[in-house]
Amino acid sequence: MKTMIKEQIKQNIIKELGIENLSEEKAEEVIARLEENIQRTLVLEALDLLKVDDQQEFLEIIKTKNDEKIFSFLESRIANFDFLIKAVAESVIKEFKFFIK
Amino acid sequence: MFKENEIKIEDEIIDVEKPVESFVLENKEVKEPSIEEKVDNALERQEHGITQREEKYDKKVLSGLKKWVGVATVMGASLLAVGCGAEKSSSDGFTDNVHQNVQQRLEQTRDRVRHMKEMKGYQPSEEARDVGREMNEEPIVQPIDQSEKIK
Repeated sequence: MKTMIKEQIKQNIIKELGIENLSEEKAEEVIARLEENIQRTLVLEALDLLKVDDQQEFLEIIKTKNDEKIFSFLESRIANFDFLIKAVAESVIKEFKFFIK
Repeated sequence: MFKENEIKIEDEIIDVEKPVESFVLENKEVKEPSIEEKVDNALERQEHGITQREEKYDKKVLSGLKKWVGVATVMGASLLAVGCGAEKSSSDGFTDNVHQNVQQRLEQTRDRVRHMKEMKGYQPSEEARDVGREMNEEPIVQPIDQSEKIK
């Protein structure tokens, strides 16, 4: 079931990106690279939301290796993370589509 | 400006008295890039932009956030699905909706951390100790397979 859904999603993505004419291997490479770009951009956008002081504090918290502290800190500084994900994902894809025109 | 034998077509000065052959040679056919080339160029441009932005930040902060983003989000395929508006959900509890997944993952991680913390200071009660002791001391009685016995 999950495999079928994932395959359907993959086909939707390929269609939406306009890369149906690529070989399956190349399409998968494009998907993987775009995924990576979304994640990297997401990190940068999250980072932009942290002030310089917050970044220093964050570095100190990382050193403690306390997951709960790290999560609490970031959640308090980066509100509506789920909306951020959607916005970043959409903008990366929009940019990609613009570049391949 | 233009010489007598020249005309201007869309900002390009063309010598109308030049032989046609030389004109063709000078204006070699511009090859349209293939879809593979277009895709590669687009991704390279995008990756270059991201790398440039990353250079401005402390590497330790970047790697710390990467770890957090990795935990807080599901697999990249779902992120891409969100961006394309291609996500679907199913009825078996599995969801490709990244918003739900983010909340689920955060909640699960919080629960795990809370549980680990609780277990660290766990001391069994006297009753629990007795039960544990009994379980250790009493012989384990294996059920007899009747079909084997008949043979």
